[in-house]
Amino acid sequence: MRQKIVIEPVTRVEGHGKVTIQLDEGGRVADAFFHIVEFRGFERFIQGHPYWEVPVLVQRLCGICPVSHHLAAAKAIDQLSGLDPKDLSPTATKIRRLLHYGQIFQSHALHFFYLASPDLLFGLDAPAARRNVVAVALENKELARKGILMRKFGQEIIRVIAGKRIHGVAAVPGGVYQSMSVEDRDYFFSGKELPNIDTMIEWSQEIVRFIKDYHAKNAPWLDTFASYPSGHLGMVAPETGALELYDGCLRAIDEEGRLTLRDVPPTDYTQYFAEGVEPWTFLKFPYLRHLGRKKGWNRVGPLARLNVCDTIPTPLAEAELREFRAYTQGKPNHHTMHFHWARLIEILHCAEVMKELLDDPDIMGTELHREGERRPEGIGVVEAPRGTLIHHYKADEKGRVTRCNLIVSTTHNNEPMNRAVRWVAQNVLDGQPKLTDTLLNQVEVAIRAYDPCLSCATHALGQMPLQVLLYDHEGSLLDERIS
Amino acid sequence: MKEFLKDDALLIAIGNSGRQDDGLGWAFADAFVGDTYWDGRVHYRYQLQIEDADLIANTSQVIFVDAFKGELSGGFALEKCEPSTDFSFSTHALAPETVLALCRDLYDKTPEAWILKIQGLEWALETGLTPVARHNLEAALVFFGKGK
Repeated sequence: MRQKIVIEPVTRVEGHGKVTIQLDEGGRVADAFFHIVEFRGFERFIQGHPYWEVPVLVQRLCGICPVSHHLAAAKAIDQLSGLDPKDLSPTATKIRRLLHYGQIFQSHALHFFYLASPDLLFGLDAPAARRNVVAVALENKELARKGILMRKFGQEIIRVIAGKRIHGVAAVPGGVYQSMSVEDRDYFFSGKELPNIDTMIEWSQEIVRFIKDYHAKNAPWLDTFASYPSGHLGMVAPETGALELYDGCLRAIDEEGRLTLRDVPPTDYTQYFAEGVEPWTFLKFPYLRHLGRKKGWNRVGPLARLNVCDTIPTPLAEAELREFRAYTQGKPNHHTMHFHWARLIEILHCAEVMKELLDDPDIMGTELHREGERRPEGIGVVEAPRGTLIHHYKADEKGRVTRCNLIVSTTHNNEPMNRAVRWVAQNVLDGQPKLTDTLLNQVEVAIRAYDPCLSCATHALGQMPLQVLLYDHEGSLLDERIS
Repeated sequence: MKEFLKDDALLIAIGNSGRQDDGLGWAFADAFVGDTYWDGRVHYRYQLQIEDADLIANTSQVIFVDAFKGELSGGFALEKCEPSTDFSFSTHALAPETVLALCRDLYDKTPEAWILKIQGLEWALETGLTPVARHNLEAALVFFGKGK
């Protein structure tokens, strides 16, 4: 008999997901799928709204990375207003960059301290009740307190710029709503109410050292778990090829490091990308057209970004990149668990960039926005915490949105996450007579490394158990577990 | 119920007004912003996060307000919130009980905490509460001395 094991939903990822593992008659893994079960429908929801409302409305997509959606939409709306990124005032550009790097800093901090650290600190065999942030807090108070304050620092950057921590208004068509005051800027340097930016850099260095020490002790696991070759996609600065998170060109490499997308303008993405669909998931599968659906998919996010860039344009993170690259002898790094290492190098980079920007008098400038001549179409792309995020809009002559297409980071990582789940199923679950907590957690660990954001927009109290279902090949329920 | 709220109370409203009745928590909090008889603070949250443990450590009373999916007699319920490490979430979000447990374990403080659940009905991508949710919101506001 062919069996189907379903894990639903996956805990500690953003939104609801479901993992189906199909066993054959001999109890061996036949295949494995990661389903996205919630249909967001946002692209239709946005149609008919005035385009200038979009940067505010899209923040409703996510409670974790609303700023990324806000800025990607804002860049697209700039173009509908007749302005390209280079046309914005220095103040507007730098305020947006500061907002963006603050967002990535806090999001990465949340992921590491809250989601990843239980896996790393307590291991895959730890009971479920111990694999959580409260256990981290109990046994590693200093680490947990630093995590909270790093997260808070990034949130405060967002609050000061956008007016509030979630769903504020920072970007407006052609610029920003406000710049920073001297008092705002000094708040992040003084250290009186919040550890200051130098402390953030220092703590970022500490956690990079932590992950490297951890790697040294756990290399056999980290270098093999859910590891598989793939292409990688990310944004780099034009001409220098340096890591760029706010505005640059798109670059992709194959598993050997050969360029498969050669620094193209993000606004040309439709020429290079297509999206595949599968009947078993609502989430699409983006791929490079010229390589096709089977070979053209790429990983995105911290690991991919560090694989595609030539350098990191801040000294401390650049030194860490050299070490990171040396670990795989300069070859692309395909180890899923190295996402965590890469993410922490990016935390350090974000802290360094935030300091540069906070030190820049332009963030207190007065030229907030500019105007251009209306265009019918706009495409905004940023590197969100989880990877390349694309917002594409068309508007009619009255300014109403007529078309919206979003390719979110998690969509790019759809195929990679499926590969990771398949790896776990084939290498860990295969041949086991039944699911155990340890086995289930390894599926989740593989998914969590990508920090997926599946859609978190509804979260009312009382509706989120972990459900495990076992089906036979005809869809009959054989077993069910609810945590 | 005006006496229920302490002067330094923290009202943390959780929700998403872009998801119909998921906006119940925020709608409740709206009635308390700029309130003339209560000096406490109102915070809006999409989800509770780890740093909220730091926030509530400096108050003596906190009330978490959120939409509830399920049946509640009278349309709302005010329940005591106790620290718990029982994880019932599936996202980056923390449960109020977990935030309280984090606060206790990290800062050695456990403020008096309550959860106000207000029953909602629909959760689609639309703004505006359903009539049922508005009715339940009004009942909760009346309970807190803020009804029409």
